[in-house]
Amino acid sequence: MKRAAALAMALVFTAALTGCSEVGYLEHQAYAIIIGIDREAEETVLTVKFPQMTGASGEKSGSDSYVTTESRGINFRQAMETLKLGIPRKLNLSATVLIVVSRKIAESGEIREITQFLISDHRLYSAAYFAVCQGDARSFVEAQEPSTGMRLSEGLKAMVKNGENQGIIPQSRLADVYYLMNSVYSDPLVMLCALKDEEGTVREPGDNLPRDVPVSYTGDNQYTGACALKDGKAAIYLTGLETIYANLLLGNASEFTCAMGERAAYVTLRRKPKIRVRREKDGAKVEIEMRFTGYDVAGELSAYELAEHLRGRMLELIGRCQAAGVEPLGFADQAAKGSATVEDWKKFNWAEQFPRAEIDLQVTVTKTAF
Amino acid sequence: MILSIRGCEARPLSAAMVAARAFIGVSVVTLEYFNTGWICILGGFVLALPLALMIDLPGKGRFMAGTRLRKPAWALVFALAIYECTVLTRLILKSTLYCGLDQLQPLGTTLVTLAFCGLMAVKNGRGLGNGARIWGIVFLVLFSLVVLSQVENFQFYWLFPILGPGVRSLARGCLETAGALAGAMTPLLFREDETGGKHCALRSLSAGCAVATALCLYEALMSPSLAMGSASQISVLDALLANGRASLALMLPIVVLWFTGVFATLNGYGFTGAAALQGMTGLDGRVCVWGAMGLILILTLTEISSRKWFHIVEMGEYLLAICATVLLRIGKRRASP
Repeated sequence: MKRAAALAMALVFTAALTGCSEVGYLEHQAYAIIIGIDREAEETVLTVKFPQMTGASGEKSGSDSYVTTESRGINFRQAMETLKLGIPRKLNLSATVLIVVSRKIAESGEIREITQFLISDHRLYSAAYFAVCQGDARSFVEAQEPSTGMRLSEGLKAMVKNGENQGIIPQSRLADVYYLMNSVYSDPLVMLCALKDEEGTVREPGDNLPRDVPVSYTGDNQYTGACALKDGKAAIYLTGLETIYANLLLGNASEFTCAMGERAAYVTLRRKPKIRVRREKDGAKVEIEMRFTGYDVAGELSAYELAEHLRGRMLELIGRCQAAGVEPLGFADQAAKGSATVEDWKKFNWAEQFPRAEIDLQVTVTKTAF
Repeated sequence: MILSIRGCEARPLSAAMVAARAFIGVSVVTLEYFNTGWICILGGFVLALPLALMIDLPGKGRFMAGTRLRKPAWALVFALAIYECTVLTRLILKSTLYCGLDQLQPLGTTLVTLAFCGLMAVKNGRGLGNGARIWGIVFLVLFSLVVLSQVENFQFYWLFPILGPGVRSLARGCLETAGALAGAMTPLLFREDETGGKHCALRSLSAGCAVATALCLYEALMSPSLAMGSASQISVLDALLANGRASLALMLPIVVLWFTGVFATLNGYGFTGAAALQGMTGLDGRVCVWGAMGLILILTLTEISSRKWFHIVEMGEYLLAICATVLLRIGKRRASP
């Protein structure tokens, strides 16, 4: 009797777990891989790239395996609703790899609303990247093609990861942008992207690499540089080289080739920068200590020259940030240690302190024979 | 059928309940402690120590023989356990997305959840204790995996400002956590023997608090406190279980830990509620279990908000658990001079 009852209950539970809900067939889902967001006149325009799915193979490689859809609305929320209505399948953002907003959107301050909507309504925590596009996002999304033999999503991930490792783009996941925009620490740094031939592109490979290193890209879409956001609005744009320095200050990058005219040296950050923020009577003082190892093939650069060059470039970057009133360099994270409570920290008002803070940057380079 | 649990089964069950309940209290349900939940847990641990020591005082026999206050005391324990079960069942409903069951009707999910809880309670402690013991073992393995896979994303500065919302809020947080811990130790009041070993409650409390502190620190290092008014229970759950820095597949270990922990706690409170109902009414154990589950089902599906009572109940729980234990001790002394 007991066994019969147990069996019956097991059957009931199994049925409840599988049969009472509609199965999420792959073919029923429209997985958005890239979402581009533009502002045109009074409308928000979404350009979304979907893979053509088959139940057996899922996302395929090859440019003909993707379709691009466009939707419009008076704001992002409305445009998303239109998109849901316009596509013949259920919109699914769980596989989204990249969200690109145009420069116009970034400068309008709509980023806060967009990230808030994606995180809270769509619960988009799938490690998607967030980028600001120099031109319009639509052209950028349309031009984004998969590399030969690769799925678009995997190709994108590999490309971004490589850029992060080289330091030419910041770590810019949607979740990070959202967290930093809504927490009490430093401002977020978002990666910049642009089409190759577009005016105002931030690609400056000759600037941070020795001239004799040939640089070529397979696609039209470039990911170089960063945009610092202040209160959800683009405050300053950093070049690829400046982004490397920002990443060094943040402790996210560790090595790069530092070019000084004809000469170049391979520089490695020996350990994460030591940052201390002192509160003095006349304001805050930021003390930074950075130690590098420099390797110069030709032996033309002295350690002192290298250190002064690095110091000068980094002070320039910090100065730009101070002038723009934005602090994406992680100083606030250290400064917050000086406050006991969040209330005290807010009273200290870092946003007001940072632009007039004194910067004491110590850079030491030890030359090595490799 | 009398609902009871052996000491060796009550100990891991209580430890799992302490861990999950303390973490949920300071992290998911209450958002105002920012990233200082771990301080609240440590403070709560200190406050709950006297209670644990009191529960550990030697003495045999079941609960509260011969005291006049027996029925009202068990009625309060019953009410608290049912309230806790309602909060936990609703939390499970909120987190169904992470196991792909968000398309199910809430009634279906709640029915299956409570049926499971009821079956575990009817097994009279064996299932509960062993389930919790397995959770304890699995926790170490899965949590190590999670930490190793995410350690590069840890940001230690997110623990600062160290006192978060301020001393007053933290003091309240410690008291509330002590309440949660006290409530999570109630299954130990039903233990029928001393097989749990010496300092059974103290060991449960210490192990549970260590786990809860580790979980709180993990969450604090992975995501900053959203102090700009964007935080919600859902955003905290998302930050914990989906996080946004790794694919959802990589977050599976923490999702498994979450559900097993919440289920162990729900089962523990379900059992406590049913046992308290039996202590109060003297009815058969099965009737008490399914009666309690029915009540939880109704409360879970009603629109009555449990959240606004949460702080009061948590603080009251601490005082109540101390009173109940004192009464239990008096009762035991009278019952076995």
